Amino acid sequence: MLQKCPECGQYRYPPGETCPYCLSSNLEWEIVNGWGNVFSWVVFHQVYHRTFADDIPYTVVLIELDQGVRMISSLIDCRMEDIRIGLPVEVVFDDITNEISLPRFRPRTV
Amino acid sequence: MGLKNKCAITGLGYTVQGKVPDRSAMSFYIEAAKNAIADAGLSIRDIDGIIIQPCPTDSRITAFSLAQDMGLSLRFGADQQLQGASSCAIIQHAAMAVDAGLCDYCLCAFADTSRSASPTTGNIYQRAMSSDAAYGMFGVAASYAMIARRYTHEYGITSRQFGAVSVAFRHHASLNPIAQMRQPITIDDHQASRWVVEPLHLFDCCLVSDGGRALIVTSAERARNLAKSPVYIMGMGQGHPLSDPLQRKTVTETGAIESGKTAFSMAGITRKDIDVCSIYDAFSFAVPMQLEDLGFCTKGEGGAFFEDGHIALGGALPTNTSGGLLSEVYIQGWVGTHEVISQLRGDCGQRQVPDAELGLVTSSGGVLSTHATLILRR
Repeated sequence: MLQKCPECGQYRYPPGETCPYCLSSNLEWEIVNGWGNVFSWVVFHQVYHRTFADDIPYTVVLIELDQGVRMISSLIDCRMEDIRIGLPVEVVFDDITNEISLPRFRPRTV
Repeated sequence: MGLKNKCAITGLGYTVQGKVPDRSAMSFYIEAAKNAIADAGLSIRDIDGIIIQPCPTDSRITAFSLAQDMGLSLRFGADQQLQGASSCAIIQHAAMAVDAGLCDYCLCAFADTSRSASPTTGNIYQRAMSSDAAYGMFGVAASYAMIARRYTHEYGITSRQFGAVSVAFRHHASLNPIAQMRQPITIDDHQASRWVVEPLHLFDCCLVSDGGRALIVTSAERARNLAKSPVYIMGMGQGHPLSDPLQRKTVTETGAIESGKTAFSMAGITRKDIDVCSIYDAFSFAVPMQLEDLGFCTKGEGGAFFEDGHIALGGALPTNTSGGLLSEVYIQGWVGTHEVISQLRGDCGQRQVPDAELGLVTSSGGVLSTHATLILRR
């Protein structure tokens, strides 16, 4: 789901109280297809937080969704050497706990 | 036009810098202020305005708490937070205040103790920036690395070209007695240095330091009667794109486009007139990117500009002659202002640009989110 402004039709991410295009505060949620592509990506080689110590080196990707907004996420089912800018991806929800799911992405085959 | 040549910078204050444990941020503000006042040949009571850039490691410090500790009553005071862009922006506001008659001698100051302040928790530049930390996204370098990747993708600029920036500035630092990193490096050393966040190597990233800087802005007329020769403010400008870099339409352009345009238009000079530059170099690749945006070369040619030696001492546009944030010290935008002013005064010894008359300084904050430019002349 993404926030969308019913008045000017623009999507916004990250979620907020007002539309940065027309300042409407009347934002709605819309279910989207979860498709996008890799806009940029980086590889962490240093431990910034111990939670990720065993994952080093790990990638973090910047996904541009088909709706035009971009979000930080991670890529699964993809070898590091296969990551490239423009790679088509689709969302996968990773259930971290019963209540929290993280949207991650995997290469799209269709 | 505008404030051209109406105000000048006098009095440069430095402190001990680098890794300086057991010092409070306030003590650096005061040491820098004291040295700036002495350098200008002023007395402490002459200072009637203060603008500070807030300290990243001590948010309690304000212009007014600094005034309190210096025993000063002020006619004008402000704290200005444009992060890394604060130095040039604060000097602009100080010039406006002086020109408006709100104060006569405006002290501008900054200090940081990030190198020594929080050794157990990691420095402030490595913390989580948002809930994106759930994906392992931490620190400032990673956002810059996202942009660096796009820069290489869109314009074919290479990591070796990033390295040419670091190598040139390290050479400059080797000629600067107060620089933190003075051992020369090669492109191969740059390529072999460890990854911080790929595609950024260690030698693409600025230092983390302790220290402070201050300077004094006054009217051109008053500046002429002080101890040091004045450096006049010819042009100024700011440009602030969307604050979240990753949501900008294009991530490979900076606020330097707008900022530079305004500054050059006020100064009434061309790019070719500039003798010496300081470009905000928190990360190597941001230097060619800003030089492109300022119009010194066309978009995408910034990398080659460095490889060709244009920006080294002896080149057409000597840039970051102190070693910059990459090799001298990280006291944010004040490293650049102080170096260009020193060059225009002719105080740079072994690294002096002969007969430097016109200089340009940029400062940039957040993740290329805020930007301010100054054009200065001796």
